[in-house]
Amino acid sequence: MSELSTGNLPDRKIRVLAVAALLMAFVLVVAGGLVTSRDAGLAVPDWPLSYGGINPPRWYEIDKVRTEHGHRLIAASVAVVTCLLGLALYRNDTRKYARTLGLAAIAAVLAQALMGGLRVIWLSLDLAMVHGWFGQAFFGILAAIVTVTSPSWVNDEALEDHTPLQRPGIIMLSLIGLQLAIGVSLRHMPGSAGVLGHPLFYLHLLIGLSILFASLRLARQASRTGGPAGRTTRRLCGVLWLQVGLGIATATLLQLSGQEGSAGLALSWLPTLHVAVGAGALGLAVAGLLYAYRPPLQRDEQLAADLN
Amino acid sequence: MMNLLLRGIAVTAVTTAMLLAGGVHIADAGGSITGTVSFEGDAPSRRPIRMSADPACDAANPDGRLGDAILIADGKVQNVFVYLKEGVTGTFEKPTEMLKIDQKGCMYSPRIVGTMVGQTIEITNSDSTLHNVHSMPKESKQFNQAMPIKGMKIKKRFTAAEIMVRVKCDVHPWMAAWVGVLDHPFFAVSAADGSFTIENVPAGTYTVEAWHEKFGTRTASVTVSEGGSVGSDFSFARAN
Repeated sequence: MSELSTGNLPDRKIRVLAVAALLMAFVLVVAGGLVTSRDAGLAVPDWPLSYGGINPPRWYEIDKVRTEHGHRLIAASVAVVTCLLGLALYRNDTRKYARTLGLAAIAAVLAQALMGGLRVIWLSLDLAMVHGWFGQAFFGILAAIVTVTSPSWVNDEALEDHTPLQRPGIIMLSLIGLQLAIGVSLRHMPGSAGVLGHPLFYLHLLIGLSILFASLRLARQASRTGGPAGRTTRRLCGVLWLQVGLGIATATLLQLSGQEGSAGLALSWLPTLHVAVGAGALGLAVAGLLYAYRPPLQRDEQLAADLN
Repeated sequence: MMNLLLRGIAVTAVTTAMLLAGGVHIADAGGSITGTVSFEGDAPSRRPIRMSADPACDAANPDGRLGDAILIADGKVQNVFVYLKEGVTGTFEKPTEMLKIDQKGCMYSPRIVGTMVGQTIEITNSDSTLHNVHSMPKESKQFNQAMPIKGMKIKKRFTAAEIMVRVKCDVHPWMAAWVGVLDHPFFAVSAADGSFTIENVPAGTYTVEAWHEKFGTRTASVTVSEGGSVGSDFSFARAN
């Protein structure tokens, strides 16, 4: 990682494509979260077609079909944009790691689509869990691409040492990855109310508290660090505190819904928001870590001109 | 003529020998088990189903629809699956006729059915909307089949005995059916007046089980005599 070179600023079209892919992937994470919240994953039982066609009849009128088929349509769009991005990086970017990230994104989006399809055909809950977790990992890859193609990656705003952010950054990324994996497993357990008594829930709670304490330390270090590394890490800490709040709200809602019946709309959206903010935290953790490992850049006039 | 007569006698003798030896049974003789399923206490009220998730289902039920998981009238329970749980010996041929399940008005009809292992089940979509038929057996292979067109029919079979197999529609979460899969034909589903009859039961002593999707199970021991009829009533109550 320490041998990362920032290289030249990538073409503006690639940067736009990268940001578009990331934003679309965020929407996809939300759509996927809704599929799980609404238990709509098997409402379209065939794949790659939907009820034998490109679009099932009246799919937009029927709640669960709209949720699942809408997820597929968004996923297809993300796959197209990601493939274009990956190919553009491979053809135009001179940095080996950027090209590798582009190819990894293509491989990940195709694997993710295949897993989603096989989950439906094989009626496999295990594969649904892997699909949910891998979706977050794919989001992390796109976040890395957006980071290394951004102006701030090649514009060395801060020349100070980012080393103090590296170790806690790795720990934080690992904790977030683990927490997301556990969260996905909890989300795919049958019977949402029973989740709260499961040992995995207590592990989720424990890691959540660990993340909270780790974020306090990280925030203190980030406050002493300038540039994109410090800025991104501070944002990460803010998102993590929001995420802890959403986690508490989600658990409370599940507890209440278990006692009083379905909580309807909130039960669909609140856990989904928790998942989506989790993806956002993962993306920021990836970006912050990359910035922390970025070497100081030798300014050159051409680069400054590019940025202006 | 003599050859024909001898051939007939031989076939009859072989068939009789097979039946006596406990081979393939043809369930057309024996006694019967009759009874009534009752409910003690106040019957739980039926809740209206919200079908707004699919406008076509709403339109198919303009006066609304009540849930049919619990059907109790005058203290008698409908849709209880009653079957011989223990005591049945031998093997039985599966019926050649198909078991039929319809999806009509965004509900399964019938909701509770019995079938023999390997018997063909014909599932129809009579609705102007799409359904998926998702069976969730533990002993047989699951299936989840798209049925997007009105009038569409599919044929399925279960390969192992199981009490009970849940069948659901993932598009319309209120839709549920339960299939009792047995390797013998001695089962019945209670009617609206709670009555049931299991016919052609070979003489012997059996454990009879009554299964209800909300109230659980009840068992009884009965002894059936050749050509006789034995009574076996069951009673359910609210779960504590």
